[in-house]
Amino acid sequence: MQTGFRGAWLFWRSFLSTPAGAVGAAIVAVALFVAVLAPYLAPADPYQITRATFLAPSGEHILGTDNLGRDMASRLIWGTRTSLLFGFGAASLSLVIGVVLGALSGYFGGVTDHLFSRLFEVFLMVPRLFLIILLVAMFGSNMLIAIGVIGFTLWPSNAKLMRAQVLTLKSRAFVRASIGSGASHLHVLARHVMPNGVSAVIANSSLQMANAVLLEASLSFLGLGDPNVVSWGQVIQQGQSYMVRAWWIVTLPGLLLVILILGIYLLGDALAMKLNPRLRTRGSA
Amino acid sequence: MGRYLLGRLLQFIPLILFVVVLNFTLVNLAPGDPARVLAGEDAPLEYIETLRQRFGLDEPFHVRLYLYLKSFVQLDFGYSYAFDRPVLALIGQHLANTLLLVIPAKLVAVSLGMFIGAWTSGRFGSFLDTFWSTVMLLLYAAPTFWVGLMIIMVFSIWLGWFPTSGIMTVASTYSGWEVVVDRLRHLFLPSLTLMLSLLPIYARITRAAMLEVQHEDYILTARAKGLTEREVLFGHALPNALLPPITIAGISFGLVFTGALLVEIVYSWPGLGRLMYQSVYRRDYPLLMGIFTISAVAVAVFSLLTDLVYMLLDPRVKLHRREQ
Repeated sequence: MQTGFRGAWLFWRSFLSTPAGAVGAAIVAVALFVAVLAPYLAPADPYQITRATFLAPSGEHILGTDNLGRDMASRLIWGTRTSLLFGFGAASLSLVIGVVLGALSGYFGGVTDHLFSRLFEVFLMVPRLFLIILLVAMFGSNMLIAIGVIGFTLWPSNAKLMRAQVLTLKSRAFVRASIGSGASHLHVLARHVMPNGVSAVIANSSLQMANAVLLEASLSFLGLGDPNVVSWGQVIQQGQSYMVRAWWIVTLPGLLLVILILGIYLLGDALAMKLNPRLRTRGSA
Repeated sequence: MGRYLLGRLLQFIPLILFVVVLNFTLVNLAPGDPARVLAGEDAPLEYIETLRQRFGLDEPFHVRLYLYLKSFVQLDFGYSYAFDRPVLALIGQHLANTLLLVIPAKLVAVSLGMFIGAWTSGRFGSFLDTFWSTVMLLLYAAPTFWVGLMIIMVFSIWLGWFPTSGIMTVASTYSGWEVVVDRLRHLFLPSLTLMLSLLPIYARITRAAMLEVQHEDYILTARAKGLTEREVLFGHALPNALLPPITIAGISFGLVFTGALLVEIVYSWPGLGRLMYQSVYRRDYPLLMGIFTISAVAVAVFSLLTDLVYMLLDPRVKLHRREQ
């Protein structure tokens, strides 16, 4: 196996050669670009209220204006930043917690599994959207807190999937052979169990990043988002009363959500394909 | 098997107690004076005081917790002062509405999703696989509440085929079959929206699991025996690929009670999710805790059922070894 810089380059080159991976990477890259350069790309101040209300998309306002005459294009450009922060932040938190706890639980079994499984269940029993709404209502709709709250509620499905994978892997011949030949627990876990079990979790993790973006949009749609930050869900919430009069206010941010989530999803899918050689050989056949 | 089941059921007790205490703590730490919220902005102070005494809101934290646990054991979830009705009755009524929405949506989504997933995996890389996978991807990527709004825009506002919201036509003079038809007309769009939001989850997971198992030796054996591709797919691959979709279906069923929240809000459907949302805003503590507990218990029950189905489906998972 190639390592270091050259290995990473080869990985990305073969990765980008698949159409899904390339499209996904392109969408996420464009979104990142827009998010970082939002202040320079936005044609107007996203909070600037004007008298030009309900303008349909046209030359001056390419995506129209909303009920308060604010430039839609600028609001949507700034909203990209919010969505990406939520996606990356919450999914990373969830992946780390889920993989480690799930693998430990399934691998060691017995009392460890018992205790960890109870922990997963306690977390799974708490209705997620409800807990998020509750915590956000309690601690305020500050953006960083909301990211932490979403990440903290997403991990149990990662852990359960990892545990289920490890349970079947544990009785497979190659794992038993490794244990039988005297390998340490750390070696078996890191070398055999985690690499073979993680593909299902990585696929789930792309789902979760998309999920975090969705949850942010949902929170904002419910009127529980950070009122000081523009977000696509917030634009939809404010536009839903004017659906008959101005279709673009509700429709455009939703389309952007679909595109971004699709991009994250394709990227994750291609990643899962790369990380699981069994899928790769099938793909090239 | 029987002992395993009993053991699992006994584990419910500390688990449920934990959730109850967690609920109570979380909800009571939330800011806002419920008596003040309940009484409304311009209510006189005496009225607020009366409410506070009536619901024991003046007692210290641990006294309220003790009182709550005591009434919980007696299966008394208390009285909702915002809705002026017993909590259990409120939950029952709204849960029925949610189930009416959720059950058809979930059944169609799981079966159709598993079929699409298995079917497309057999045509891996073909045009049909790409097409259906793309449709599922787009559906997955679309936020439920936005799909709901788009569906309302097209089918209710533009075409005028279905009502925009609610569970029935208010002040109607329908009778007999007309009532049923009216309900179904109100049910269709929200159910469709919920179904479309669940469908891609099952299609995607089934497809991924099918692709995983298709490299196993027994699939090679099945092919070598000369079975048709359909027999290999649905007879040998699918049963072995059921674990992941079943996990997700099991885990998520209890959550669906509250997961329909967004659909219920978009369509003003008087279900449990919308009730919960309203109770958060009204800081209706007894109702909040009641809904929280009921949905947590539902998830616990479905988690146990998932484990049982696991063992039936995959003998490699030997959970019941513990009892030996």
